Amino acid sequence: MLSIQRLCKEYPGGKKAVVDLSLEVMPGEILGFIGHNGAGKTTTLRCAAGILSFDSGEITIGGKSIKKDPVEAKKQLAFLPDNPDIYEFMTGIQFLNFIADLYEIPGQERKERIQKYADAFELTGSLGSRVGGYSHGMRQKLSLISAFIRKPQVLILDEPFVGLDPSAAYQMKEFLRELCGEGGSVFFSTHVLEVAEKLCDRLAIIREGKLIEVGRTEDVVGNNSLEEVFLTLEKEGEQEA
Amino acid sequence: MKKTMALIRVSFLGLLTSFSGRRSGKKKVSALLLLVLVGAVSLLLSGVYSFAFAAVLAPSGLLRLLPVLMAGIGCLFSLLFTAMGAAGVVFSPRGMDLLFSLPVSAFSIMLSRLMALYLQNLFQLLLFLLPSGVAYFVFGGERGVEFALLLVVSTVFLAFLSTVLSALVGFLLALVNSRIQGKALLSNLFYLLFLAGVFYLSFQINPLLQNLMLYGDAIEGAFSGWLFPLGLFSGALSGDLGAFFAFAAISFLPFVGVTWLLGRSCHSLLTRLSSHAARSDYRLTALKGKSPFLALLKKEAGRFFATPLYLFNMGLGAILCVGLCVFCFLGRNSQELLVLTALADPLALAAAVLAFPLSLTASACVSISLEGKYLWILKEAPVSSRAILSAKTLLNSLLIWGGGFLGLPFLCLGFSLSPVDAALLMLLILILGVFVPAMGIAGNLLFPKMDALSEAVVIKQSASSFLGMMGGMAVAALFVGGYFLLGSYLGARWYLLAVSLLLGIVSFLLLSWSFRKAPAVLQDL
Repeated sequence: MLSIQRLCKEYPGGKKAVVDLSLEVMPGEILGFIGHNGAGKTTTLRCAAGILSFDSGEITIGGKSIKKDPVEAKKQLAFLPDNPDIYEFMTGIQFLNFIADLYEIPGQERKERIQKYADAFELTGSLGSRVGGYSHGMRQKLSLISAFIRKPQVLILDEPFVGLDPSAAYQMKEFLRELCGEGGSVFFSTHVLEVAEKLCDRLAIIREGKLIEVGRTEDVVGNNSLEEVFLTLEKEGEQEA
Repeated sequence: MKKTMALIRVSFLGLLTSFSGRRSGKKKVSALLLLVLVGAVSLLLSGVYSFAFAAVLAPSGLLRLLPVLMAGIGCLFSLLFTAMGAAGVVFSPRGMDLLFSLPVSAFSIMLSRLMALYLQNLFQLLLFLLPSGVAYFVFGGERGVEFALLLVVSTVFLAFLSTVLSALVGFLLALVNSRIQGKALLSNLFYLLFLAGVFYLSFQINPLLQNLMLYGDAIEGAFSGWLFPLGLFSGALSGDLGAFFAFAAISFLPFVGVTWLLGRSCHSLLTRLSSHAARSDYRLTALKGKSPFLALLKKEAGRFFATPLYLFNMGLGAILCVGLCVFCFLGRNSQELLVLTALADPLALAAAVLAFPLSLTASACVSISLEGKYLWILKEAPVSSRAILSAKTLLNSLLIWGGGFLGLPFLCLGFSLSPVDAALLMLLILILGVFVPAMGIAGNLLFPKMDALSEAVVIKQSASSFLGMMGGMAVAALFVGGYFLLGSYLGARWYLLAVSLLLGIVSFLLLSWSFRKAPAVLQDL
């Protein structure tokens, strides 16, 4: 569903953010992306979402290249950044309508979807207010709703649990599983290792732009905790350096 | 004191970097060149008024009034250019969380923000008053070097006075805005009233010029009355040390006082601005779908009409155009218009009446910068960069066409134009509706400002906003100048047709370049 092949991204000034990274997220799968700050997680996610250009490699979503055929590729995608800034002059419902228009979701269907997700995230009553008056958590919920109403084939999330209350975090996990049950794929980064361990089918660990470990969660973790595995891999990396 | 100086330094840096879009050396040089261009335009404007005033004042021995009159007009212009910016920058809650959490006083925070505003005012006033000094000497003013030195030093203090004025009006605008937050119509009406007041005062300059001889005594009288600060300014320039120190005191002390007062109240104002009440009684009703392009266009229009600063800076030209056309219709039998139509072809005059204000209607020139931190929404969406740019340019075109076509019937009646002339003016409006947005969008692609803390910085201080506003005016002025050279050979009709065709070709080239470059530029932002 989402395929990243030999991705390389270098920022001006020579910093290599991602080096020859390849991975795939299969239909019905949740892939967790783990790494320390500055490891290259956000850069990889943003390249995959078509927000950031990259130097070499190929990224396809449902077989469509994000570089050569971006519009078609993005029709199957939803991306949520770590700090979702949303137009403050719009009300919540105006923003959701705007997104639904961009993805050409028919009127009745969009109403049903918005109702479902807004009720679940307890945001329906606030949809008539301007986004400028929303708290960080409310903005996060609004962005999540805007992502789920698209019924994306691939959902890419950058630190999605930041700012969410426990009930919203639970709802989000339920909807992620529901999306995967319908054949969608989820690719998300997180620092919350317990969540990654419990939620993800597979895990990918990145260090200094390079993928150092990828596999089924139980294979990566083994008899240890994910925290221990992550710290061991980090230590090995430091020794190699 | 060290902390206050550090804050002031940060505010200055913020102001200076607001002119440059990116950090590369080439862009910095381009931004500097733009600043020089802006300075040159201000000097030209001030030069024209200074020499016109001097020519009237010198024969009647009132030349000493020249710098004082220009100081008054300079303060008015500073108010127009910086008050709305002050409302959006000085009293913006953005970035204040960090400042309020630091161990510095509210006075220091406010002082640092007002000092940045002061710098802007000083720059504008110096550009405004230096040509008046030159005109003063050209028309026989006395006390050469001493006068020049006193003019510069007094302007340094005058800028404190105009900063106080801008800050107070900016504070009032921000306060009203905080009370009627979310009510775009009320906000827009309030800003319209404010601008109408400033423009009314500005339009009094020409009658003042015409009747200066009659008003000379009255003006001097006012200097010892309600205009006493300007009276002291006049005294300071004449070498009266007492007047100089008094002027310095009445300029600087109010600045300190206002900074102290605003420092005391800014916390509550900014808290009110940053706290919004979100209602929780919304009920979902039937929703209708639109095409992606219409959604983009509606989003652009929503931002434009919901942001008074954007509407009244970048859409003012369209409003002015309708106002001028109605003025030409209502005053069609006035002496001024009759004299004008006797001096120049009515078609050429009508074209100038349309071209100058419409070239100021430049919403597209900041539309990419205004995406700022929200750009990820468009970059992630399944829409092409061509569609994004088209929506931005189309909104600008609709504003120009709306203002132009609404005013055109009044203009045709006012100047008694034939149907052929009306058709040519329609063509001009159509072409301007493509050229101005094309120039704006190309300028914004060249000078994007994506990291601004507030919309005010993008709209009032960015390089692309200057380029969009001044560039359009410069092109209009260029073609007016061209008419004086070529008009007598071609005639007004053929000249207007040639200009329209030329603008059409340039628009096509600019749009082609923008659509070709946009994918790469947007991807890099």
